[in-house]
Amino acid sequence: MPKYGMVIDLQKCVGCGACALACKTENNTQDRAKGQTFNWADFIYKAEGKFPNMKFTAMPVLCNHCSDAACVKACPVTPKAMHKHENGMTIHNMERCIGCRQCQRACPYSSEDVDKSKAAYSVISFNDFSDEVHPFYKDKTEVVAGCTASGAEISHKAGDIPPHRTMYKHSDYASVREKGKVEKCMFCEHRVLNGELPYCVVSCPAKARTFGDLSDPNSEPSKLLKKHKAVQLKNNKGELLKPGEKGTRPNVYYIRSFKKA
Amino acid sequence: MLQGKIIDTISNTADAIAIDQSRCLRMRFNKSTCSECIKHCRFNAIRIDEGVDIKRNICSECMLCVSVCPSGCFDVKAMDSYSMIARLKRLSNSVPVPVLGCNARADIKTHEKTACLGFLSEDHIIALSVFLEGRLQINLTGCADCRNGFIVDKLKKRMESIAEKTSLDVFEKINLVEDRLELCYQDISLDRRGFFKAIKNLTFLQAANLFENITPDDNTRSYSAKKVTVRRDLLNRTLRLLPEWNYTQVLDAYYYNFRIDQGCNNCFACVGMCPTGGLKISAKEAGPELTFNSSLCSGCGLCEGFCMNNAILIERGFRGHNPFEFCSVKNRLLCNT
Repeated sequence: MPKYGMVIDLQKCVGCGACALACKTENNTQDRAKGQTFNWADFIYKAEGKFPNMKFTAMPVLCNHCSDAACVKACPVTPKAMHKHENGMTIHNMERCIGCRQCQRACPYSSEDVDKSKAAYSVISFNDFSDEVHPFYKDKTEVVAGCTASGAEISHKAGDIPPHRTMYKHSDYASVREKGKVEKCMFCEHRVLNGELPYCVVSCPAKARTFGDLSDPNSEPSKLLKKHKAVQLKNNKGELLKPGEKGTRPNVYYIRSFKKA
Repeated sequence: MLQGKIIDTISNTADAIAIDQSRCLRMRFNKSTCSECIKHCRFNAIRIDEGVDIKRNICSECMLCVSVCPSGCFDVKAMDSYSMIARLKRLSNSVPVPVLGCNARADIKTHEKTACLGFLSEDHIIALSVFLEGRLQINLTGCADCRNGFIVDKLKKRMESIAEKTSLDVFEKINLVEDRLELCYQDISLDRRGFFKAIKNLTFLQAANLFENITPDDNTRSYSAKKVTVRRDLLNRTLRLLPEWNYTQVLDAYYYNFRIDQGCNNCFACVGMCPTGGLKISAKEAGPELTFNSSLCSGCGLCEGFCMNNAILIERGFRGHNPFEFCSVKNRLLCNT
């Protein structure tokens, strides 16, 4: 069984945000709201120093698909809604999720409310109980009364899918999540199972993201990890991109940071 | 495929209890220690580990698990408590005393046959005593030599418990008949038209039962789908018919109060945990707020055990204004302030 992971080359990444846009299109994630980012592929931007001696860093962040995932341990449901697949991916089952947000609390890379806790990012987001997810996919009310139809209505009449919506099928999660449930990056398992790469990897114009089987020494990411000294996003002290990882054994690695580790 | 399923269903009569795993408190919360069904099962047929399972070859189908599960994980297949009560109510027009009994033996005289009567919870008995204007006899004459005979004592205890907690006249309305001589069974007299109508109804009923049984074996719903238990719903419907003094008694004895203390930090995790939908986030001017509806709470206490701040207290006896309404927890039911 493969053990999938990702290697991000920080010297190739320019922080253009194509991966984040690609992810939003592929997985129909919502806009940032109510303290939730809904960005499965996100960034940490950091500006240090004083002009003209400034340093600007862009670090892409995503679910680390940890081998000892804290979110999986925290999930109270049986069988676990947040669970590990044999291929190493941490997958969230939407049917079994009850929306208690224990995974969000347990994850060292997530925050319950990014606005309140001033967190830059959160890899797990929560869909509020009260609001419909992506209402415009379903909303068939006239935009201008007696005059214009909504996108959902036109696409329904034409027998097509609503604009900006990607349809896919997976055994555990749906292309649009439900209210009262959490969501996070699934490594595009629906694509990987079909032999495709995650959409963020495909979309990166600089080829900074490499995705593959970490257990296979001849795979692209394994070769990169051998060649370069790799770090994970946070270490024990919560410092970014320093050696000494938090204990969850993340499977997303960063190589070639401009700053010396 | 359908044919095969029908044959399977007819031959496999042992499969009388439907399990919805998503309702089980231990499936929803891994730290829950609820073991009501296991405690009541005389034959140790229920196993709860990676899932809820009844060993069909051991199970005697006494239906006690159905009546004790606080969140409605079990249900009697091909039986609907609502239509059972409705049919008994209609019967009281044609016979002086309707008789309810189980389908274990053919020679038990009843008007309405169900699975083993162990499924009659206190809520069922209250509903029967209120909805039926007249008397109802429960035929337990066959129980003496049935391996599920222990349910007679259970039913008696349940009746006593109702009489103890409320002033409802359950003993006058409902007779548990163990002696054949006490039974006032009277055949429904039918004219020719009525006879053919009865046959037609019977055929429809059988067909309906058959097709109801063909529903998929896996009854597990989405864990986030909230549904109030049948027992609670029956009692809710009964409650509206009760006179004032009984109304308060039943509210005191069977409904629950939800209280929180200062420890609550509005994380609303309990809303997701609740299997029956008794908790809801309501948008108020001051922001989202936790609200509680007593008529949708079966008192399973899962929220209490789950709350990370130990801020929840569930107690018996409703103290608010309207049990059918989502009330703000902060204003009406708060303790310690």
